[in-house]
Amino acid sequence: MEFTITINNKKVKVSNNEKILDVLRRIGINIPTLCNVPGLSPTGACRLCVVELKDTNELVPSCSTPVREGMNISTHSNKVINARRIIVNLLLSNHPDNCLYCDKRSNCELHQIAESLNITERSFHGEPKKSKSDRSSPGILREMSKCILCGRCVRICEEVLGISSIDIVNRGKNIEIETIFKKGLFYSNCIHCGLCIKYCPTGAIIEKSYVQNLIDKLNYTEKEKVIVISNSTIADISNFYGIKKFTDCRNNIVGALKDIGFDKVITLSPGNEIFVYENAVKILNHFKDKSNKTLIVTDCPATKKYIKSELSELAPLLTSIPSPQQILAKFFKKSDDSNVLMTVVTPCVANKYEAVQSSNTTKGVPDIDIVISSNELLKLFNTYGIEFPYSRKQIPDNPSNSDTSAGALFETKGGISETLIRELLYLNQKSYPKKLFEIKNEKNFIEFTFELNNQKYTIASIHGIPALKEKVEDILSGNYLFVELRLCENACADGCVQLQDDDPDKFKKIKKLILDYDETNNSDTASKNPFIKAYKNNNLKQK
Amino acid sequence: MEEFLKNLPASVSKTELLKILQEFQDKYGYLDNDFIHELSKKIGIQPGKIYGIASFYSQFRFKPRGKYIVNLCSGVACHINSSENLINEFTKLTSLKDGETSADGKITLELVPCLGGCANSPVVKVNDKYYTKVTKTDLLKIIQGLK
Repeated sequence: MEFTITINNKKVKVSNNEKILDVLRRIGINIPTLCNVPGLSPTGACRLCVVELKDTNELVPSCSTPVREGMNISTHSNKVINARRIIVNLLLSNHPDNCLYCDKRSNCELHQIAESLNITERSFHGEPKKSKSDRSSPGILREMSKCILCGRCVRICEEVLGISSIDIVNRGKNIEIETIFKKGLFYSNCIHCGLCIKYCPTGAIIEKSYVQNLIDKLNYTEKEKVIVISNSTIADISNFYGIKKFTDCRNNIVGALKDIGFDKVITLSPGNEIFVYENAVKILNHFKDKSNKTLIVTDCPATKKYIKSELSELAPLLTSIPSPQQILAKFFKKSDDSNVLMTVVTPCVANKYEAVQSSNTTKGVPDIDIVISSNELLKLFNTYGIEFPYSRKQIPDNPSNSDTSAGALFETKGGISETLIRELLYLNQKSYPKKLFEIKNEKNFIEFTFELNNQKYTIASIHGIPALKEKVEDILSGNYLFVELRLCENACADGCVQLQDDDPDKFKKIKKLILDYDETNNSDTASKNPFIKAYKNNNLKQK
Repeated sequence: MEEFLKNLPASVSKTELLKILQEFQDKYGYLDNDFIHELSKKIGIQPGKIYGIASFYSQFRFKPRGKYIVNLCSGVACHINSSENLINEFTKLTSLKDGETSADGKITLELVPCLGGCANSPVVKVNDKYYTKVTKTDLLKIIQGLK
């Protein structure tokens, strides 16, 4: 049913059941919100989205109030603005003042809203929140003194992931966001995906920073310094600085990192290629066994942990090939007392968690010494005064000097499927189509089909936990040859510690950068890389 | 605990959560980590969520309580009749603060807002026994009696 309401003296057509806030966003009226996340249930916790109903003179939270026929709404009346100022002043009354040392700095939504409401001094002097921080997770740092209890992280964890590692505990003025028995994220069922970092409006949940640690080590270690950069990080930086060509940006970054003092700069591609090759071999063996089970291929540590703890019925289907960065770590640190300082740059905090897993350590020391995020890489560049496009260009070191474009394509949405099918076809018949045939392309679910030995196979690429939950039955009943799983909606480039950018088309642009690179490159499947050929021969010798 | 979980019906509805938590606490005194995790599998609510829900209610405990629960009243009437001195005295004698349990697992101190005996304040309650118009010397005797 449709009817009209009045917003700021203008008539607006709305449909029944719409919330006021949704209407305002649709017609382009900006009002501040802190607790609202589009797509999740409204809670009305922050009350910043209040609007005035002119006929009854009352203030209502627009995020949770449905429209009613004949409503007369004012979004920026004096009464509303005063109410918002009081709310923000109250939120700030017990908020720490140390913004200068806060990781969020100018990206803090609370800070921006306070600024937009012209709040320049503290009006209410509340008892400062006691500083409690949860440092248990290797990737996620929770500083609860900065928490404003908006509950975004709680709803993300519950409604999107269905994990509820954190919840609102206690009551009244003792309310806090905590894990079970307040033991910390590491000891809860947290999968360290970092979605809470992405959605926290203040500096309460941030990534744990290792960049200063890296700088210290760079200056004091005698070891060979190796840095591995994921392709999504390169594409992200390339998009951020408007560099048109993927390889240009890659060579720029390599040059810059060399100037900073790294001995060897490589991309994650060789790891991705070995990962694809190993999985392809596994799937071909799977054919020989004539098994009807659907295999699960994922390089995402968060997804792996999620499957192991929440969907254990799927766990036996995992191909259990180590992730690309771990493959490279094993490659560079062949001996126990290796003389290598290994750093990995990714847009993902789950990799920080993965690096400290006991299976990825040697004598208790992680194989990857330091994992930093794309964000931290930018900080590193800022520390050394490096701007892009950088004057020095250099191609990556061995084994990355023979990278195929499959290694980069691997990290895009649906990339595991595409590169893996190429590799399967290449291993089988030495030829493959450049573009795969998509039969379904929904938001977070892509179905591909291809022919191998005159038989048609379907595979699926699933992104995000909600899409995965819908397809559990299909996977268990063996409808696909294999499925690709990743936790972030736009694959690895969408990691929670990517560069800050409000562009809604960001991921399309990033994917296009990599697709352009792939299109112009002839060396486009893992086995075409001489390094992978050498790796294969080496493997055969060992056997 | 296993026995308790076994006795639950095969399918438990989420709405029965509070009832189950109450029953468990009545039997074992507090809600422990293992129980919450086991219950979570059975009832289909994540452990973190169960903890969040339970922590809302002051009736649920997450630590073992002592044999004797000493309730000192901090309500208005008792406060006027200097219950604060009693609370301080109790802390001095036993070195226990609100919510703490002695190392030998005998005594737990819990402050409560009112025990319903304002006419005879200050009131002290030990398990189900009430002591009225308590003085410091009475308190010492009460503590000495907790064996």
